[in-house]
Amino acid sequence: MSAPLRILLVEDEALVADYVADIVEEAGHTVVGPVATGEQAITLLEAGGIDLAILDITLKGAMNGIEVAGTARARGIPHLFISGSGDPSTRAAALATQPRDFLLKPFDQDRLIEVLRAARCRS
Amino acid sequence: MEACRILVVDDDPDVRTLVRRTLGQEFPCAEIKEAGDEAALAVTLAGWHPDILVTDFDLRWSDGIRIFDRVKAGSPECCTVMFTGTGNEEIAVQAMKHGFDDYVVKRSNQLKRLAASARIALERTRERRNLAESRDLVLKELYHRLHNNLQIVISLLRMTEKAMPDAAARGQLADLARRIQALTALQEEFYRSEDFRRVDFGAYLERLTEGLIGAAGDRLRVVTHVASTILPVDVAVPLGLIANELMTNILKHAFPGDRPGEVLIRLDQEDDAIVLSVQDNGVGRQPPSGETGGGLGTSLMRRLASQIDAEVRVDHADTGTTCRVSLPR
Repeated sequence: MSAPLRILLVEDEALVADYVADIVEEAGHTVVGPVATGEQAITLLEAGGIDLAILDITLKGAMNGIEVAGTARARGIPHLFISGSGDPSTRAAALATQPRDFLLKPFDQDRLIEVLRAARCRS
Repeated sequence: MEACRILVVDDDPDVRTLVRRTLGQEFPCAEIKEAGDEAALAVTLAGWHPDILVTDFDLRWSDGIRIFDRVKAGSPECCTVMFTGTGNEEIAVQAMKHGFDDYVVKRSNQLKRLAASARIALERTRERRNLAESRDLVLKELYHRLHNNLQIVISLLRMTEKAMPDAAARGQLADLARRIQALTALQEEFYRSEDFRRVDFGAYLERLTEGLIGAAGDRLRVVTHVASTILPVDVAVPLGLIANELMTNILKHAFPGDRPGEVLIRLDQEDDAIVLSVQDNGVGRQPPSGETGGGLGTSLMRRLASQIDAEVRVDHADTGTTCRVSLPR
């Protein structure tokens, strides 16, 4: 098994962010953030040291998670979405960024744990 | 000035010219094309999508109904006006029944009426489109809010579960979170279906299976034989919750200690019943009474089954457990 990952968490709902952070930390990884805006997420991605980004799509501020995914991809950082925006057009735009997974809220925590396990093996 | 595309179909070049001139005055920015025969129609429709079709009924090479079908196939939102001298009520009724927006008798004093008719048809179509777009926007927003709020509920449940010292209470909360998730997956199917009152239960079952048993990883091999089965909402919700209980039971009781195994899930349409069956080759023991969630799960299943007049039969054997839910058609 590879080393624990540094995972950027981008989620604007505080309770959901805490819940996801708990799952990530229980899986042995380090949470960077959580942050609630795309702009904050970009700053952290550009600062380096992120192994994986977990992105909500609808965020506070002007940017959305799909735009953040674009920056992550450009820097070679894998990402996955956890979002309540499961309508076909949003989902298609999100999948076009080639995420590791798209978890629709309310997501299954076992599936997130599995995605994290796979990400750790691939890193 | 609005831009739109207008197609005029008529055998008679003089009529086409008159109609073009009339509609050109009504819609000064319109791009107007005409077709007087099959070849011209084919060329015109190649990669070009009219907003308004004005067609004669009686053409030497076709008829107005066929032209309607042909244009609508490529441009479903195109509005349509039949402009014909073959004036009888039967044709008018036939045209309107087929879906034409209006029917105007071909006389020179009716040209103004033709222009007004095309204008009204175009405005109605645009209103319909705007209404549909607004509806989609509202639905999208509601969908997003619903899923986000359910996620907050589940986050709260899971955080409360973690803080509970008692294992049985933790199990109950985890079961509750699963039940909410099962309802959400059903909601997702309703959203995907065109008729929000009905859902493809087969597609839902596949999704539920993937989410629940798929999360157990490679140790459980799952085989599904699921027929596409459209059910109304008042049946799909209780049956979905029953399916959730059956699968949760497998996860909790059938394969203790990470034992590997197989699960077969079927949804069949028999002559007099829709039958959901869930079969495993696990330990085949009935869960001990009082074990986390087991008692409540069973009682929920019986209650939900009675709501939809379904019969639930559970057979425990040394070779595993088979549950059969039979829903009369």
